Amino acid sequence: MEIDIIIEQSSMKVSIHTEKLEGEIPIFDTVLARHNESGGKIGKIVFNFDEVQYINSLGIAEFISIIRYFSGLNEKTKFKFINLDKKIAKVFKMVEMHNLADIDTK
Amino acid sequence: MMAEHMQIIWEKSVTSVHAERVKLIESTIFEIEKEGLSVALDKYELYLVLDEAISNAMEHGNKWSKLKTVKVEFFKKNDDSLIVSVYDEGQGFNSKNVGEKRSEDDRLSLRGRGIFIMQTFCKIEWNERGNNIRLQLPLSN
Repeated sequence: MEIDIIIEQSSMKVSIHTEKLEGEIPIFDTVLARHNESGGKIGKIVFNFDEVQYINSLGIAEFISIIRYFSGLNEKTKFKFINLDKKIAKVFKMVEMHNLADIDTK
Repeated sequence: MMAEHMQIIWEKSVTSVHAERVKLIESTIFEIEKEGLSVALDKYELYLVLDEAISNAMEHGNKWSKLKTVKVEFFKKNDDSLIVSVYDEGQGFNSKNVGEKRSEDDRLSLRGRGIFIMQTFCKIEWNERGNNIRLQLPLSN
């Protein structure tokens, strides 16, 4: 299992168990399916990058898809990335992810 | 404007699938090192730049068609830079607007981030059709 998703109250925690995020893992589809199962409002989504060592723009696009989807629901969902490797944090800064989500490095 | 044709040191073509994408990135880095060429990027940055160029060619150029190939070749330019050239078989695009500042609306766009990443690390240019990107990587030796 590459993605664990836990929903507690209105908070979704997404843990990614892979070293590389290169667009091959359908993170958006997995999050969407889990959200549809739960049916509830999601106030906050936290992505745990503890095991992730590398991401490219295809991987980033998966998270943009998630942010777009929840933004479209107008539920003021907040987004947070935690445990980012410093190199990944640098890439996130290049593409201005800090304008869309809170970002915490390791 | 593209640079004039130089003597190609190495080239390889693969089909547009994820597994071949990774192999093409890794073999390009291997061959650059084998030639004794040292670019002024660390290995992570070089992998990322090549990944963005090759992924862009497979995703937006060839639409991940297994029937379409992506070719990478590299050559030296003036002893101080390495040109890595990536070709796809797509229709190309208009590269004239590339590099313009992103608007508020672009923040949630699914495209364009790969180009920003590449521009952070090297000069890039396209051919007229937009199906061949050239990365100009400074050499450190």
